[in-house]
Amino acid sequence: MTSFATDRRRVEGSGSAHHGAGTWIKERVSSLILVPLTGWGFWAAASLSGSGFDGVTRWLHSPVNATLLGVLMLVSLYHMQLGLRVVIEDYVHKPFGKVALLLLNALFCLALAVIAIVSIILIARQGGAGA
Amino acid sequence: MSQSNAGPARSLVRPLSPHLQVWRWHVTMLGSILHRATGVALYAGAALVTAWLACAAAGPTAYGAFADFGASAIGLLVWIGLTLSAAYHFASGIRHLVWDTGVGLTRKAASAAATLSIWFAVVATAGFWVWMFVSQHVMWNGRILL
Repeated sequence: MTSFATDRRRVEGSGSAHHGAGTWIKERVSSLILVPLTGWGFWAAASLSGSGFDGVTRWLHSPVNATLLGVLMLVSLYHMQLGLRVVIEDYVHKPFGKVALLLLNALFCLALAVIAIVSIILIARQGGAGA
Repeated sequence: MSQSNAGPARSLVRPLSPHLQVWRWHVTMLGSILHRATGVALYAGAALVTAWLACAAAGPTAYGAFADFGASAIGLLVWIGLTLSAAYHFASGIRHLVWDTGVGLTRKAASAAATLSIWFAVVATAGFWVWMFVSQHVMWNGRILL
């Protein structure tokens, strides 16, 4: 029987995610952004260690530090949401369990992002809620 | 591998993620598994870093509690594990980005890149923590870590 499906229609959705290359590209773009930011993160962690509560809050009063840490957290959390999504799509095949886990993954990453950003802003503006 | 949403066009069973026992062990396979495993470990790491930020925002008392955990033996083990995971995922991720440009896809180059990523992670983690101890950012019984 002749198939009238286009080449694209024939290959799209054949992977375990049942969609195209969008997630794959987002993963790559976020990882490119993370290459320099991760290096900065290591350096920041090393220079911050041992500085205690006062040192950390003072460090976050710098807009450059607060912004870079905020971007690092957001892009990391976005990247890891995409990454765990692929793991779930690869190993969980029951529709309900898969959708539930994908939703949980997205909500958990979103919750972490909100907590991280709100915390950074609180510290940067007034030295924390307790100050 | 049920594909419940498969129409007539998709009823063909395609090979997805072949299972581990089919393959003979080789270093690129170890590299791939480690990339995924460290990625999942960093998921927990991101939660921990977020908790650190939330504690810092909550004030000195909460921060002190977090720092106590961070400076404990278990905490130190967790930090070292996260450094190792981050260093490996970082190097291995660059390896993937290079592959995505179409470079380094021969068997020899791929194996070399996987081996290099693993060694980079070990050496970078060791270097990072030796520096942390030598420069006295960390001490075994002082609570200086955070």
